Amino acid sequence: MTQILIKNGYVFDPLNGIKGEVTDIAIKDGKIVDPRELNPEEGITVINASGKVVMPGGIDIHSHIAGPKINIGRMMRPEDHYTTNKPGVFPYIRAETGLSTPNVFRIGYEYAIMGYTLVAEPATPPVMTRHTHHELNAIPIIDKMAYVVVDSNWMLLDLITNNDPKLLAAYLSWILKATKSYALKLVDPGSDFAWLLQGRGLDISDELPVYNFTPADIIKSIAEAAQVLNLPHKLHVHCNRLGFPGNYATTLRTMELALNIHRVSEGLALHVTHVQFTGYKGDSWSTLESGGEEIAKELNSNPYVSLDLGQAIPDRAVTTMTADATFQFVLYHIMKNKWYSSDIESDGASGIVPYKYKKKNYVNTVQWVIGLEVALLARDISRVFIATDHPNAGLFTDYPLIFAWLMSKKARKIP
Amino acid sequence: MEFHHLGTKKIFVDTTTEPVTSLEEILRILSAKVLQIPHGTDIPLKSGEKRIIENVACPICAELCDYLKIEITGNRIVRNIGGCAKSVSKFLNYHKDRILKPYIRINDKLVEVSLEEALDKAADILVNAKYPLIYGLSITSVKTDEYAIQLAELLRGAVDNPSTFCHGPTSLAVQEVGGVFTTFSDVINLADLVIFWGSDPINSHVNHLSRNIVPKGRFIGGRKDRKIVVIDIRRTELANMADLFIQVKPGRDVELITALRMALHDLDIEVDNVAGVPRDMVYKLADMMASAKYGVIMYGLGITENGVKHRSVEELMKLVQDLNEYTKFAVMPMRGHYNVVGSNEASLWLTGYPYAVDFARGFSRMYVGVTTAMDLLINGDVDAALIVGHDPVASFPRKAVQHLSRIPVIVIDPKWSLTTAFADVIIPSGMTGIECEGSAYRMDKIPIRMKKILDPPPGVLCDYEILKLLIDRVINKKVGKA
Amino acid sequence: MRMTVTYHLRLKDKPSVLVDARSITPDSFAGKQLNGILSLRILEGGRQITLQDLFDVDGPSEAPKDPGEIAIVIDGSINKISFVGYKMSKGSITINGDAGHFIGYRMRGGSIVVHGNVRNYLGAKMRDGSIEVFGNAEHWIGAKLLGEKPGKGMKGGTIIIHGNAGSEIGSGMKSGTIIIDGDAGNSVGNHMVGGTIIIKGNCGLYPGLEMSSGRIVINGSVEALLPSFYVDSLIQPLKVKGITFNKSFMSFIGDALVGGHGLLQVSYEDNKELLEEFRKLLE
Repeated sequence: MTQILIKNGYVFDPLNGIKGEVTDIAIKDGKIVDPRELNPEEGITVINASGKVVMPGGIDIHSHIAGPKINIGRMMRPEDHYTTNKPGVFPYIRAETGLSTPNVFRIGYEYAIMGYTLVAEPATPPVMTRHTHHELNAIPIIDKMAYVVVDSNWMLLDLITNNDPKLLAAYLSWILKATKSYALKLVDPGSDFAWLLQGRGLDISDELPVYNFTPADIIKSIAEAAQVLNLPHKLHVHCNRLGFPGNYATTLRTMELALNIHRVSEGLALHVTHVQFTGYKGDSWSTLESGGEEIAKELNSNPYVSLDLGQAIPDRAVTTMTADATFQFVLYHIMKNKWYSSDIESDGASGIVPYKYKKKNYVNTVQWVIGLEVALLARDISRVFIATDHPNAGLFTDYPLIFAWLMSKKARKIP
Repeated sequence: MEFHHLGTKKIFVDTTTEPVTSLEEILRILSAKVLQIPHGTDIPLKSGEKRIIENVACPICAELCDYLKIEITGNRIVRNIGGCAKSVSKFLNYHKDRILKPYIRINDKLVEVSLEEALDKAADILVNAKYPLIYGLSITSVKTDEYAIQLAELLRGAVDNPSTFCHGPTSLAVQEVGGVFTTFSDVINLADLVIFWGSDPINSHVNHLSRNIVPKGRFIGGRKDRKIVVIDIRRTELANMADLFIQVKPGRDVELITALRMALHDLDIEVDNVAGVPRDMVYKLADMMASAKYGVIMYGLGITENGVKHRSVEELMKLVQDLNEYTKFAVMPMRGHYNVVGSNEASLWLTGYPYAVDFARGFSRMYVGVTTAMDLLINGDVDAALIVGHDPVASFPRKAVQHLSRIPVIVIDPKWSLTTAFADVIIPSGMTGIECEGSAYRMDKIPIRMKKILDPPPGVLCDYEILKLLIDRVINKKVGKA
Repeated sequence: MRMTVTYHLRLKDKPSVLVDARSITPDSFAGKQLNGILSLRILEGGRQITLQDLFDVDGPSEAPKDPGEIAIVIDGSINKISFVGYKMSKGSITINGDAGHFIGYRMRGGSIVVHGNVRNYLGAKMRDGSIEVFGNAEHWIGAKLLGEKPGKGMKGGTIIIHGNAGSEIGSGMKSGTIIIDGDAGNSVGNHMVGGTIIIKGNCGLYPGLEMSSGRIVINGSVEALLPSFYVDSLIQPLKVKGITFNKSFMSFIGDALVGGHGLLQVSYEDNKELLEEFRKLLE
């Protein structure tokens, strides 16, 4: 039996409407209880939190912290490890290394220091999830979970063709169970299939090669299956045409799909992830504009979607890694440095390219604006999650910067 | 008997009248610490209930065939269906020459001791060492790798795995330029051009062809729809079944890779002959590659361990990156031991580097030529060694082996090996994939579950359990010292 | 005139493991009392010891503040003492004996002389200063570390090896000069973006692999050249960095695959067989 009493902190609890009240929090056997339930005879660990904030642990719903591509990122970027080390402390604190490709110990320690307690790895190919769990298990302190990528799975595409929603739901349920994952993830739906066969990507209403349906059909079918399965986090979507100018229209159409599906379970139907990368207005990089306003408008009028920002952090060297192999191929041509790509057992493909956001780069500046614009214009902030799509648009250790930008006009001024 | 080797030099092999060198003599030549290895240490077999276990993964090579059917009666493995000759031999002889008891060396004799004593002696050796080396880790599960790396970190020593002398250059090339990789399923279902470059799966990964090349895929027929090209320094067995065989001068693959890249970049090739390959053939091959729908280069040690090592692999990666401007193309390194990929992966997530990791300064570092096991041993830079599930004496150069005879060595292994003759402490372990379970990684980085189909012999633990006990002891001793 | 003080370091017992002696630089000696110098931290394998555990030190009781006035002489060193001269900016280090890895790593100035052999990564990522080795050196001389971009190697200064050297010399170097009196190994000057490498002896496979600029001169035989180097001309005599070679050299431009305009100059007389084809092309 463990009993903990956290005394005299400023307590914040949005769910129960507690905003900075000075009070005590009691924990008994891993659960929060009324302080009167603690039994002093069994020994209580008292933590003095006076002058400090006591709040629920942060949840990061989209951060690439584990899995094959993270590990390849580590392999590909030794230069990220040469000068970013922190030695371990004998015998239990382990050595840390890496910024954009940190080792498991730095991930756990840094998240814990920021007050985060649950982090979701947002893309694990089913056949590689054993690996993802190995890494998740190795991350200390925090709780972890993973979303399984299902968009270009051939079996699943066949089931969509056969128009058998029940079997499709059963198959998805089996995948979730077999891979011990928390939610379903679509990455640039259908594109990896087109990439495998033809080395190209797809827009939301382009027809897939071989199959006679579109990415929109994939999203719809799987979103409906998620309704049938009543999943807590229904469907995590990385939109088509990510990273291409003009793609905000695709994002809007993806969000609209949430209105058109057959809803049989409660809650949100769709989560659109890292909207910064899919919120580009304009025909080319030189005419790029923010589509943030339109996306925020759609969010405000559509009660069935949530989103996270994928906030870009200026002057941050990152390692972009996605299961969106097509986009990574494009990025490789921009950066002309290292490029890693892997096709994974016909379930999908992935790419990794090192990148750096620059304050003086026009495109990077627009990218910085998009995330902030969406967050600031959204009316229901409970449906907007702060994330940098670590380590794609920034690092998870940059979150305090984003909090500052969102809460202070002064902080937003570019120096 | 006469055959051509390396193109120019002739080597003659004749029968000899000299007596066969005995094991004892070999050990004496290698200056082993112990010349007498205990004999007759098979696990006693008992017949009993017949069981058939399906979908067993094979702990031999990185092909990791995970469809074996193993038939067992009692503790006797009687049949292995689906495995190659190597696999059959490993399973059916799992009980032979086993280390069944812990030993420590006293003078030139190995003496049976309890596990407690052996662990205590091992921990003493490690704690007293200034810079110990932990080596092996490719013939066991990733769980063991994780503990071994933790132990190296606690001891501020070095930890390395056999990629240091096989596919390490692949990792170094990825560090330099990245790469384009693929997996078995994509090869089966899509690949219409498969190039074996400096690799010979007929001898190294026996089931590879029947598993990946022969079967019909979803978008491609079987063998007849796939073009097979073999690039090697001599006409291998595989070359005889290829559609095109290209003989390249030994150690000169980079020239051919460069010429292929030049052809793709529309650059003039001035020389008539590139590494023994006529210029027209270079253009033909470049054409063939660029016009394939989905091409794969399966390369082996012929690329990684030739003249310029990691630069060869780097150029190969660049070639494949260039080919992706035209079509889909990828590489697949034909890795060796069944979990050598896993030892790289575990090392990466814990330390950020794939192999040759050093913790002298309390954090991970990797410098090829400095922290690599071979350099550490050959130059005598370490003062103790822990060998987990590997037999370096059988594969390391003489100078490295000699250093093992000068420093205290701890061996954790299921079977007697040459290395056990250099050991000061021997701790027996169960065989991963037969007696112990865990994960191993296939050559294409797909993690596979290794099953436990039999119990380890009485008193014998799995290697990760032994390492865990060793870690606890090392922590206690170091805390005690301080 | 500037006075130079000398610190003599004599090795007590030969260490049995690699030693990280990055504190042996004029910069870390500067301004310290002798006691402070004696207790400078050294890593023996994974263990922390002090300078006096490893060396007997003779020298003035207080070191000058300017590292440029400090000379360090190490006697009886063996090939395990590494990282000597790490990031040094001024002054000099003389090693009478062999030395280990990373001698003069990230060096910024001053001079290092080794009367013996050294191991890998000699003068890797150095910015300025000079290193002279009277024995042999191993691989990665003046190189970048793996994974870094081309140009992150040696950025200035001079390295002279009077013996032979290993592979990957000047990998990714940006500027400066490397001179090898003896033979060199494979892929000399790979990913070079500037600077000069002179090999007075023979050289292994593929000098200049992926070089985009800079100059490599090979006075002896070469094992093989890459087809991505285009022959330019025959030159006699060849002058480079004040050295004149009185024989004919064949000049190549490359590496064409990276759009490079690096200059690779190879002795014609020592490679007649290899270069015959190119001579015909020139005609």
